[in-house]
Amino acid sequence: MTRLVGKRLLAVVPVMLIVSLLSFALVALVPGDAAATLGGPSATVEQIAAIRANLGLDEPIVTRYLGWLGHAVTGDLGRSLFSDQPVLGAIGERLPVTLTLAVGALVVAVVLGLPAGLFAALNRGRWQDRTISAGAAGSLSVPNYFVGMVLIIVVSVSFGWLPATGYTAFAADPAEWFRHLVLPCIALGLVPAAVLARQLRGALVGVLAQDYMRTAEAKGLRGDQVLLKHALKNAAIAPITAVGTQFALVLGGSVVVEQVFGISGLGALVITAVQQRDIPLIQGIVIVAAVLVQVVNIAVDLSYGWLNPRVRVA
Amino acid sequence: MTVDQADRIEREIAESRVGVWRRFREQPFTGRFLRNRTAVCALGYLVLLVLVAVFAPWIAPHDPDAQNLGDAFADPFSAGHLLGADNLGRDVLSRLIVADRVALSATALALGVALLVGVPPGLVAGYFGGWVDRVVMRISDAVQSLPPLIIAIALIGALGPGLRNSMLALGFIFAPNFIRIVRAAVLEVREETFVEASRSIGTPTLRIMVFRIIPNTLPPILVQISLVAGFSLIAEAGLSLLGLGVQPPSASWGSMLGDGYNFLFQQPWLVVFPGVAIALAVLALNIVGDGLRDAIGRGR
Amino acid sequence: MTASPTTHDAVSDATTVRPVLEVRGLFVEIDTGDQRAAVLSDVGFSIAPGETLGLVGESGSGKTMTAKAIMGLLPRLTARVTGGEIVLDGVDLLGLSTKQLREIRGDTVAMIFQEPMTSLNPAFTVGDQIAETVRRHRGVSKKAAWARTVEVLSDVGIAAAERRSRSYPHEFSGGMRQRVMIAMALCCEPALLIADEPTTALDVTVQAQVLDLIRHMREALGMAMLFVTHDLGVIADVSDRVVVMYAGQVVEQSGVLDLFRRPAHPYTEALLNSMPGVEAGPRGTLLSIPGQPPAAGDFPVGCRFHQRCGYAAEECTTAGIPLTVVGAQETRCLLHTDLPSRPPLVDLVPEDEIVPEVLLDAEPREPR
Repeated sequence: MTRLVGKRLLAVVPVMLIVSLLSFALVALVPGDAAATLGGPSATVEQIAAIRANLGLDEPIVTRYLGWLGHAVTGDLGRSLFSDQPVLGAIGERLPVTLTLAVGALVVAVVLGLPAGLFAALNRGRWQDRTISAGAAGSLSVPNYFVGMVLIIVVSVSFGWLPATGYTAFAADPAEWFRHLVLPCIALGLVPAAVLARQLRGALVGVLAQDYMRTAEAKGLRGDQVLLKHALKNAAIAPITAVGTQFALVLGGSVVVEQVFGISGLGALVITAVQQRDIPLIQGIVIVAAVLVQVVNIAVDLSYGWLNPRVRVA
Repeated sequence: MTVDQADRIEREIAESRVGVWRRFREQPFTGRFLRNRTAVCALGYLVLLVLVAVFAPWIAPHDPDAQNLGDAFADPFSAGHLLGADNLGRDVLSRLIVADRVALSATALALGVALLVGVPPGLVAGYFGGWVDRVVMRISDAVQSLPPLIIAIALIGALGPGLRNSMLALGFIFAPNFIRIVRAAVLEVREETFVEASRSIGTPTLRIMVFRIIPNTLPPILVQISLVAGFSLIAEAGLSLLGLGVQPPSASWGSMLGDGYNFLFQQPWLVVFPGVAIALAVLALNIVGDGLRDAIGRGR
Repeated sequence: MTASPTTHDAVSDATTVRPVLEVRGLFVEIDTGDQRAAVLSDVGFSIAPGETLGLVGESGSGKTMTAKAIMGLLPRLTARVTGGEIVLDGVDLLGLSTKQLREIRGDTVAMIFQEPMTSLNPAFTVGDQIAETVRRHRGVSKKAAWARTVEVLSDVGIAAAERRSRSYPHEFSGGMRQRVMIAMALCCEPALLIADEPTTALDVTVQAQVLDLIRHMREALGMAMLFVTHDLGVIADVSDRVVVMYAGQVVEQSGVLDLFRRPAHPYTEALLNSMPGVEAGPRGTLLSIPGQPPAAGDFPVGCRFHQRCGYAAEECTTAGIPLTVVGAQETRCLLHTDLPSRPPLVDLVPEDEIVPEVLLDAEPREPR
C-alpha cells in the first residue's frame, strides 16, 4: 500500500511539470510586445517597464522559466501586475469560498445521484429506471449557469425562500452561510449527480447479477446490508472515478456560477484577472487549480486500493 | 520489396480508397443508429438548427439588432414579438435565430481546432509508439487533468477576449479527447496490419494504414464530436455570458443569457428562451452521441 | 446420531418423524418475456432430520429452481411461486414476509453454491463474510463472532484459520474457497443444508475431498441435507434417498439402493445407462439419452418424457401421469400400472448388471 502511494505521488511530477510549462507559455501567447499589450493603450512607459520587470521579459526564456519554476515550487507564484499583491495570497483569500462551493456541489451530487443510481439499478428496465435515465440525460444537457438562473427565478424571486445572490462566511452566521450555498450548490451539482447516477446504475446492474450477491442473500443479511455493504463497495469504483473527474469540471463551472450568484470566489478573481490581463495571477490560478485536481485524483486512485483488495498487491 | 508486394499494396490502396465511404456506410452500426428513433429525431433537430443558421437572415422576422424602446420587455406572444423583446426592444426570436448561427459556427471552430490539434498527434503516437507515444500521452494527460473552463479563461487572458480566441482555447482543450481515440484506433489497426504483413508483405506502409484507419476511426470520432460539440456549446455560452466570448452587439445564446440576467426581475423570459435553446441543442447532441455509441456497441 | 438398523427404506422412516423440510405441490412460473411458463409443477418431497436427499436431473429439469424456491432466492422480477407449501421446521416459508425469511436464511437453512470462484465477495475478507453471518443470526459481539469464524474455518480444514480469516477470496484456490463457502453455510449450525452442485466446478482431485468434507460435516452437525446434482455417482456417494426431476416434475422417488438396482422410471434408467462409470448398459453399450430435454413453456402433453422414452406407448401422450407408489418407490410412469402391452420396466433390468461400481465401494448409508 505504501508503495502504491509512493508510485502514485511520483506520477504527479511529470504532470505538474507539463502544467507549469503550459501556464508559463501563457506569456508567450500574448500577441505583440507582451508588456505593452498587457499594459494596455493608456499605460505609461514606466508602467510598461514595471510589467517587463515583473515578468522578467528581458531575460532569456529558459532562465526565465527555471527562475519562475524555482519560485513556484517554493510556493512563490509572483506578484499581481495590478495590485502588486502576492499571487498566492490573493488566491488564498478566495479559494475557501470556491472550495466550499465545489464540495457542496459534490455533496448535492451524492445526495441526488446515489439514491437515483441505486433505485434505477434495482428497477432496471422498468419505468422508474427509464425515468431516471431520461432525467439524467436532461440534467447533463442543461448548463449549470442556466439552472442557477432558473433557481433564482423560481426559488428566490417567485417564492422568496432563499437569497438570490451573495455569500456569508460560515464564521459570521452558519445559517445564512447555508442558505446562500443551497442554490449555487444545486446548480453546480446537477451534472455530477447525473453522471454519478448513470455510472452507479451501470456498475450496480453488473454487480447485482454477481454470484456473491446471491450468497449475501442466502446468508439472510438484511436488505440494507446486502445493498449498501456488499453491492455498493464493489460497484463504487466507476462512480468514484466519475466524481473525481467531475471535480475538475465543477471547479471550472464555479467560475460562471459564482458570477450568476454574485459570489466572489476564485471565479470572480480569474475573471477580473482576465479583464485586466494580469498574467501572473492567471498563471497562479491555473497552477492552484491543477494542484487541487491532482490531489483529488490521488485520493480517487488510493480509494481503489481500499475498494479492490487486488490492487493493493500490485 | 518485390514487384508482387508493391502490386499488392497498390491494389489494396486503390481498393481502400474507393471503399472509405462505402465501408463506413455499410458498417452495421449505421443501420443500428437509424433504428434508434429518439436519436434520429435528435439528429433531425440538429439538421434543423443548421438550416436555421444558414438561412438566418431570411428567417428572422425582425432585424435582430433593431432597437425599439417602445417594445422593451414585451412579453412572449405579444403583438409582433412571438418570444417577446429585450430591454432595448429587440426581438428575442430574431436574436435567437441569429445567435444559432453564432453558436454553430463557434462550435464548428472549436471542433475544427480540436480535430486539427488532436488527430495528427494521435496518429503519430499510435503509429510510432515508444517515447513519442509516451510524450504525447503525458501531455494530453496533463491537459485533461485541468479544469477546462479555467484553462480556456486563462488562454483568453493571454490572447485577449473574443469569440475566435475563446473557441481556439476550447479547441485546444478538447484536442486530447481526439488524440486518445485516434491513437486507440491506430493501435488496433496496426496490430491487425502487422500481423497480416508479417505473413505476406513485410512492413505495412503508412498509406495502407491511413486508408484502413479512417473507416475504423470514424464511428468513435463521431461520438466524440457530438459530445465535445455539446460541451463547447455550453462553454461558449458560458464564456459569452461572462463577456469573454462574443462581443456586443453580436448576439449569442450565452450573451443573451448574460444580458437577460441583468433584468431577471423585470422579465425572466429573457433568460428562459436562450437557456432552453442551449439545453435543447446540447440534449440533441448528447442523444445523438449516445445513439452512436450504442450503435457501435462498445465503450460505456 | 441414533443407532438404527441399516436399511434403504428411508421413505417409511420419514413418515414417523416430523420432517425438517416438506415441500408439497410446489408450482413456480417464470416470465420469459413474451409468456409465463411453468417451470415447476406439483413438486413435492420431504427430508427427515439427519437425512440426505439427493435431487437429480439434467440442467433445466428444475432442480436448481426448487432449491432456490426453498431458499426464497427465485429471481424477484421474473419468477413467481403460484402454488404449494414449503414447510421448514413446521413453518410454511411461502407465508413469510421477506423480512421473516431473511431471519431464517443462513440460520435454519443454509446453502452452498456451484461456483466457489465467484460466490464470495471479492471486496471483503473471508472472515468478515462469515462473521457478519454469525452476528446477523446470533446477535453476538464482534469478538465472539470472530472466534466462531476462526473455529468454523478450522472445522472445514483450513490451516492457520486465525491468519487466513483475514485473507481475501482471491488469495484462496477454488477448493479452499468452497471450504470457506461451507464454513459460511455451517457457521450458524443450520437444520437443513442445501448443496447445489457443490463439487461440479472443482478439479476432480479436489471434488472427492470437498465431498468428504460435506459428508463429514453433515454427520458431525447431524443436520439434514438436500444435495442437488446431475451426477449420479456423487448421489450414490452421499444420499440416503433420491428424488429424480424431469421437466419441472418429480418423476421418481426412491431409496438410493433401490434407485440403482431397480430404477422405476425410464428416465432414471436412461440416466443410469448414460453414466460413464457404468460400463455395461442392459445391452452392453454406453447409452446416452436421445434428444434434448424440453424447455419451460414447451413441455409436451402427457408424460413429459415420452418423446425421448423407448417404452412410450399411445397412452403416454394423452394425459398427465400421476405419481404412483410401487413398493417403497414412487414413479410417474404408466409401465407399473395399466400398460399391458409391455413388460414392467423393473424386469427389464437384471439386478446384477445395474449396480454401478461407485455404489459397490460406497459405505452403506444410515438413514436416521
